[in-house]
Order: sequence, then C-alpha cells, then structure tokens
Amino acid sequence: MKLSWSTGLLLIIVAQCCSSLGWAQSTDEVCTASNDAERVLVGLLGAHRRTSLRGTLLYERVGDRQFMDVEWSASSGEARLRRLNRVAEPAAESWSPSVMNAARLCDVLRFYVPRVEQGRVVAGRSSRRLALQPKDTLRLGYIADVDTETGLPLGMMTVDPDGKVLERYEFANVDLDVVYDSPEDLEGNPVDEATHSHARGADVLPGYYLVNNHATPAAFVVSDGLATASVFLEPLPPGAAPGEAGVVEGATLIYTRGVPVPGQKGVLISVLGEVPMVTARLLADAIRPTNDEP
Amino acid sequence: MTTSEQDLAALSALMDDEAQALELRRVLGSVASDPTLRARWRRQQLVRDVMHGRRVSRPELDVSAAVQQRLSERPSVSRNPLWSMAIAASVTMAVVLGGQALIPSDQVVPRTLVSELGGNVVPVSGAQPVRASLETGAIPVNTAKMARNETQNADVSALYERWARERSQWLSQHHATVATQSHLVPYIARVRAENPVDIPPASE
Repeated sequence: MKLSWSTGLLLIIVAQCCSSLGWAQSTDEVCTASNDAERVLVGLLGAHRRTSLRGTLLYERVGDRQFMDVEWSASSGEARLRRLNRVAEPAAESWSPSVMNAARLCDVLRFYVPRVEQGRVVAGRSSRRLALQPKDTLRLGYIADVDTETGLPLGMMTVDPDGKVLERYEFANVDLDVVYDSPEDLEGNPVDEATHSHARGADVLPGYYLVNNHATPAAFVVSDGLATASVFLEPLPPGAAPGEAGVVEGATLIYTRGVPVPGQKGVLISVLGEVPMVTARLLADAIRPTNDEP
Repeated sequence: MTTSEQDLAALSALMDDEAQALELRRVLGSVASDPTLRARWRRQQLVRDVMHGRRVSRPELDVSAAVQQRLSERPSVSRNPLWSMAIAASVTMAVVLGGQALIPSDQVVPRTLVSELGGNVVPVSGAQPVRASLETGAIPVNTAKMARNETQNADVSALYERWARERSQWLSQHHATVATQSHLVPYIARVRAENPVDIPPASE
C-alpha cells in the first residue's frame, strides 16, 4: 500500500461538531481517584510499570484457545511470549511494548464506569473483580480479576454492549515481582495527565482521539484510553462496487468499506480494532476525500 | 398497514438502527407533527437506554429534534445505498451525541422503569438484554428492486467480507503494535495478532 493515495485524504474531524457540543476535553486535566473502584482502577493502570511477571496464560475466543508462557520485565520494558499449542519447542517472541500508566485515569473515567466487588482466587492469588462498564454504545466493556497485592490483572474478559463475552484470558500460574513501588498512585492523589499521557491528537468521535498516524500502511489510529482502532486506507480496485462488510474475531472487529470518489480513485477503508460495529462505521464516516491528490 | 402503523414500525426500526434513509426522514417528519408518536419516540429511547445499561437522568427530554435538524442539513443523496448507510450512521451519531449531552457526568442511579412491553425493565449486570419491537411488520421496501439486485448485492457482500478477512491477517500486526499502548494488558494485543503475514502490494 502506498502513502501517495492517502495524502489525498483528510480525516475530517467529526469532533468539530463534538467540540461544539462540549465534547472536547482539555489535555491538562487532573483526575483523582475518589472511591474504592477508582483506586483499584488506578492500581490496574499502573501495574505493569511497577511489577514484573512470569507465568502461563490461557487465552480464549471463539474458535481459538491457546496456552502461552509470558514474561514481562518492568525494569527493562521487554516482553517475551511462547505459544505452547502451535509447535513443539516454540521460539520466543520478544518485543518492547508501550504500557499504560495511571495518568490514563481521566480518559477511562470519562467514558467508563468502574465497579469493584469481591473477587476469586486466580493462579493461587486473591483478586478483586473490577468491571469497566462503558457509558455509551461506542465501546466494549471489560471485567478484570485484579491481583489484590500488586494491581496486576490476573484475568480479564472483554464483553460487548449486550453482555456477551468476546474473549478472555487468565493466568494458570504466575510469579510476580514488584520492581518499583509507587504508592502515591494508589493513595488517590491527583494524577497529572499532561505529564504522563501519550501523544494526543484531535477528538474524532466521543471519547476517541487520534494517537498516531503512519505512512506504511497508510493509517490513522484512534483510542479512547482503553480501546484502540486503526483506520487503514488504500485505493479501491478499479470497477469495484461500493459496499461494506464486517468480521468479528473475538474482541477484534475488522470492517471494510469501499467508497468511490467521483473523478478520482475510490478508497477502501479498513477499520481494525476492539470496538463495536457502530464505532467502526462512524470512523469510516470520518474519512473524506480532499482535492490535493498528487 | 395504515400510515400510523407504518410510522410505529419505522420508529421501531429506527431504534433498532434498521431504518432506511428515506423512511427515516418520513418518520421523523411525522414525529415532529404528531405528539403521540413523539411521546412514543421518547419512551422507546428511554427503554432502549435502560436495557443497554446506559444511565438515564432526564427522560423528559428527547433528541428527535436534533436528529431532524441534522438530517435537514444534509443533501438528499439517498439513491446511493452507500450514502444512505452514511446518513443512517450520522443519525446514530446524532442520537449518541444528543443522548450523551443530556447525561450529566455525576453519578446517577438508574431508575426502574415499566416498559410498554409489560414487566419491569431493570439494568442488571451480566444480564442479556433483549431487543424488542412494538410492531412485527417490516419496513415497507421496494421488493422488486431488491430481487433484481439480490444476486449482485450478495456478490459485493462476499467480496467485501473476503477483503475484510484478508486485511485482518495483513494488518493485525500493525494494529497490535499501537494497540498495546492503550490496552490494560500490553501482551494481549500481541497474542491476538497471531501468524502475521507480509503486507501485500497495493490493491490497485
């Protein structure tokens, strides 16, 4: 896929209307955990920055069930993964993911309602159950089994707006090692989003803002603080009729839409993300052709 | 089916996101002039919000006027099925925005409601909401035109579904790279993006 076509496109900020309705949020907002559920959420958001782990994980979604060894080093920021159900003596996949921090609290509280209740024993450790219920239909919900001691998620389910479980994972066994102790996050002190949060672009949909765009493949990336969707652009094959389709694989939706553009090449928009169909459609709606095609 | 029955059926379809653009414009026009239909719109909207677990704080307000306004600002391009879909999505957007604008950010305990379907409608954590329609009749459509285009539409749908599955494989690795920045568990996005394949050349 080439970038040249995408330069002829502009992501029209639907949030222009959002802003006029008061949706635009300041990026220097300061949030404070004010109840038990929000304090558990703060601990969860910062858990991977404080704690290293090594364990065996079960991951399930429709038609797919995997066991895998997982290692995460909070000090080096490196992750390793071995898929145990694919081949004998599987090789380790290593990479350095970016991880969330407690500064994401503002984003999450804006569009999710946290609730906490007594949890269960997971991988031999006690946990509390934290539910993140979306406030609208533009995002999925999460139910996490949060380690009582470290705040790490020992298990998690992703659920759709109707309450259907789309995917889940759970540690069968895990060893945890607290590398950094930052109790201030857990005490409900103010969290300065501006100094901790990732790059934040314009609001596109309620709660979703641009976090990235890249050239190869041509794509925009949006997030609401928890969910992420990538909007890929490529030329529509000549003669292709306009249309759309969506395929759901666990919590991940892939949605394609072909849009002919009079006098120009059409565009094939693909939205890939952990979002409901309505969100994918609205993101595709946000793509507009411009007249500066090279 | 009388005009009133058609309005009720179209209103139910609208609440289920199944209304076509032309039908949408017509029923919203009826809503504007018919107090009974307008009240039905508000009740259905309220019931739907509660069934989906959304907080409801000011049920006396409705957003049909905002939807009507949004439709009136858009050019009539409903002959193109794709743009019809876009209109429907925009209306969804307007409903979402309107509904959200009415909800204050402070905590509001959902209220127990008695629906027109009979029985209490209470948001219960983990419960499976049920979609309900007050009418069983389908939205009037041009069946002759549908029959002619059925084969062609099926081919187009199959093509786009194949493209979607292909791109799920081709692009999942790229998506996983950025998704780890937002997910609560940084390795889950990697787990999902199993068996990535090379990015193909442009589809032109």
